[in-house]
Amino acid sequence: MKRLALSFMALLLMATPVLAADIFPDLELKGGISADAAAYLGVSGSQIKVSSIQADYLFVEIYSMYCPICQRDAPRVNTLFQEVAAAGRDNVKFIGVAAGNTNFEVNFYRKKFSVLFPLFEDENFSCHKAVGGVGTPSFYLVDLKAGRQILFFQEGAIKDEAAMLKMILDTTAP
Amino acid sequence: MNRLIIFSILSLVLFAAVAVAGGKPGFEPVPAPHLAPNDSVLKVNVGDTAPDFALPSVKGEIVRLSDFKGRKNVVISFVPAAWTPVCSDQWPGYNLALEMIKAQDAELIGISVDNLPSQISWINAMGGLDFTVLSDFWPHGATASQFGVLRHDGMAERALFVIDKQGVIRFIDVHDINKRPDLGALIGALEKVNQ
Repeated sequence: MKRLALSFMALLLMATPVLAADIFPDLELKGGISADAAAYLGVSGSQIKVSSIQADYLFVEIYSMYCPICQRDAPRVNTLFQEVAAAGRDNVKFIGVAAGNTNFEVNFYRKKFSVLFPLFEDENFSCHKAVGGVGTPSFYLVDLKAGRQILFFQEGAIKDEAAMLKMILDTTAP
Repeated sequence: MNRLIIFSILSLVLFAAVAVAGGKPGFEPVPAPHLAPNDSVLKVNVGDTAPDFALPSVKGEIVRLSDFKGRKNVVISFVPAAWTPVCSDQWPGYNLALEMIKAQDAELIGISVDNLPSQISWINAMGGLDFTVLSDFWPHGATASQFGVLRHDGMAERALFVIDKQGVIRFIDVHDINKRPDLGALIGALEKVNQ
């Protein structure tokens, strides 16, 4: 019986997506990025990992071109990016990881929604699996200087853009 | 001991409730099991004239493939079933990419074997689709069968056909039913038709 109960708990833990207070996985970010995007993230070379990004904090959107909620949220995420930059928070970088999307699909989404921050493809869902197969969109705020500790996690649409902006600014205040 | 078991079960129930509530607000596709990638035998080839069909659309009209002959290239997207995860991604993605498809002088037609009320409810739940969706419900899967993409379980394959203005099939992708085809391959096929 005890073994059964422990198995239940193990299953529960395995099924749980990567949540706040967990450590964000050191994803290998694929697809190549422009020189401007590489300069923004402070990375060089073809192998880019989350841990190689030069910033104090990283805002990550797990999205898909095929996800209607992500499509509807795209302008809001753009606005968040712009407002964080306008607040002078150079220590916060944004990236998007496109679960199950090819390079063609990532480029289409970037162009369609005029996405200004770097997007990475994840055709074989390896990044998506590494974060626990979360629903799309999902948003993370990661403390890179504290070993990729997750400070914030949200699965689903941005319901209150102002509240999310305040959370980012408050959490990352120098 | 009993308390440990009760705690574990309650935790699992709570987790399930949170996962559903916080997952994808507004629309939660019904999980689908992993299936054999393909389960049918194609009856058409690239270079063949596409078989004509007449099917009811979610807008209440009868749409024939021959309606487009001489006017538009046609992309037919067969999907297996309404309300399932990959199908519920694929068509909203095509809806977003519709301008790219139309730029190739093509009309997108989505077909599934679901009946019209199911299709209409599903499309509404996804926030609407701007392309033609047809029901191949009755005689069940007759059009899918004409193309050779009707599976033994009564669902259609996840299949793409590009048909040119002369009604000739120029591209076929009977995809692994569990996976979404790359949009780039479809747009590339359309570009070839127009070259």
